[in-house]
Amino acid sequence: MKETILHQIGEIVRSTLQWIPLNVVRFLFLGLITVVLILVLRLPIAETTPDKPGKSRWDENLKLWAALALVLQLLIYWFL
Amino acid sequence: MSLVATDIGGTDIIGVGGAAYKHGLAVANFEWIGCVPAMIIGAFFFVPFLYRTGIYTIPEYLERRYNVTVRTIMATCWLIFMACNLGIMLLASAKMMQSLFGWEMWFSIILMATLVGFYTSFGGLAAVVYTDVLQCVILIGGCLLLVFCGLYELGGIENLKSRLQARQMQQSALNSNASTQTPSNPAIFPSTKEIKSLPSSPPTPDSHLHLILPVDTPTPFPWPGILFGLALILSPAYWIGNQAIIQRSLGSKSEFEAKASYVWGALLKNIIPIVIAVPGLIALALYPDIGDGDLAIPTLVTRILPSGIRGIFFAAFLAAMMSSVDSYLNSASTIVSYDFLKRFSKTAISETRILTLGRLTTMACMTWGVIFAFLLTTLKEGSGIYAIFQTLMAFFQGPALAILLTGMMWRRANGQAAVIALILGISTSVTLYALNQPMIYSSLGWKPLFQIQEPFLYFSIWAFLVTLSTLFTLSLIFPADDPTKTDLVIWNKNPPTKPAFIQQNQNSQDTEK
Repeated sequence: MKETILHQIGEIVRSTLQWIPLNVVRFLFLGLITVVLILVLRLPIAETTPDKPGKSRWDENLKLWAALALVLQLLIYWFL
Repeated sequence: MSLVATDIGGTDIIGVGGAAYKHGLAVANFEWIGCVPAMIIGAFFFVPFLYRTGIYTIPEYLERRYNVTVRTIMATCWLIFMACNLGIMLLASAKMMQSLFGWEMWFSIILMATLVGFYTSFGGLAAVVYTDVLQCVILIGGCLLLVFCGLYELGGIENLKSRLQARQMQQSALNSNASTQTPSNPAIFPSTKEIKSLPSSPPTPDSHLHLILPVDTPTPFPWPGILFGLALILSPAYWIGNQAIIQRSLGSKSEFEAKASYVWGALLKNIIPIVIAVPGLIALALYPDIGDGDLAIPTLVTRILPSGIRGIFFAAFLAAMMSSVDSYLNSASTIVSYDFLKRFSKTAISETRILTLGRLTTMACMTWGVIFAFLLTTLKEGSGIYAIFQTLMAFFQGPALAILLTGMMWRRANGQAAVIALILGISTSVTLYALNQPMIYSSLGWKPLFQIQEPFLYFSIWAFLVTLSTLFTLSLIFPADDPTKTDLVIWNKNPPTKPAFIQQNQNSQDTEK
């Protein structure tokens, strides 16, 4: 069975990634979700509420529901 | 709901359940980190931008940003994918019907194709969206019913966990014995056997219940594939670049509604694995010797649901199936109408002609779907249907995302460079797939390129990287495009609306109406 340059590149990548402990990997997953959560929380209110005259209801703010979806993700990836 | 109903179809109920049966809860990553972050990012950053540019299809954006060649390549890729995906959906429904009613595969495939083809041809997008909402409710209700009945049969969640742990221990003992023996006939399926003989970390007793799996897991879901291939490439490509999905959002009455559809969809996604992946785990705990993972859910439905409730579940399954099939058919018609007919016609085209062409497209796609479904039934040791679906996506989603994102974010990205990068990227994923086929690598005398089963996530990573680096390098070499193209970036708060030739074409059609 021949090994080519592609196999060697793959093996280097594989052994490097294998070296990362699964606990650290979990934090990479959580980190990704947290970054998205921070981006959402920093959005100006005008971009997350309907463009209509008068004040919007609290439940019309999409930021709240997006944050809830992401917090649920954080819990899921923390526990499973 | 329409977004989620479009995304979740029979392929997912049968395929995700089947993958959970074979590989455990890790398949839920496709609904969680493989959906939620990309949907939220899509909602607030990309959907508003696409909405403001006034485009109808993603390939249309690619023409305005790059050139007509990029548009045509992407439209062709999407059409091929949609037609093949219809075949996978029909196969999933045939497996369910075979298990429930004992109907022949060919009969179920043709029956389903006729029903959905007729209903989409004469209903249009309005029919699709209205029925999607109802279908989504029935789908979630029906699947929850299966979860409750399954857990009742098992005696609760704790019993499910303990049975899965016992099963996992038994499986790892069998694998360690098998790896010390010489295969009786190594020529038949060398890939699987060689993969099994490779050193891998022993699965923990509850690895069927984990989302994050090690690099050398025997499943197709190692963490680098999930994090880099799924969460960062396939998922954004699907939620930002999939015509069948984005069409739902761009059809909204306002920009806010377009965003809201994604955000509410993301929230709903949090519960989807509970209703489509957990039944696969329940099937494993109750019936560990089914063999074909794709039969796990049909078996569960047949054996544990009382006959009346079985009917409700079947309605849910049909609802999910029809919702996805009709959405894909509708999007295929849109692509043919807008990206081929309207784009290349030199004269104005009447709405009647577009409608006729849409119906012809539906029939052509459905016919190819039926043929593809029959082809899949001939595979002897087939991959699960979910893996086939993901592999099809991996062929072009990585390159598609690379050119779409770069075009949206970097003014210097250039049309000529995009064409070359796109072709190179798609060639990379197809070549990697080919080189990983036992027949090809054995004839070359090579070892398999990848050490996991069905490495579709890795195809998408490499194809994305090749496309991105080629696009970046060539864009710096070729001269920059003119400002009408380079202004179509996400940082531009007032992107140019439709160019004159598209606007003119649409105006003349509006006048005719």
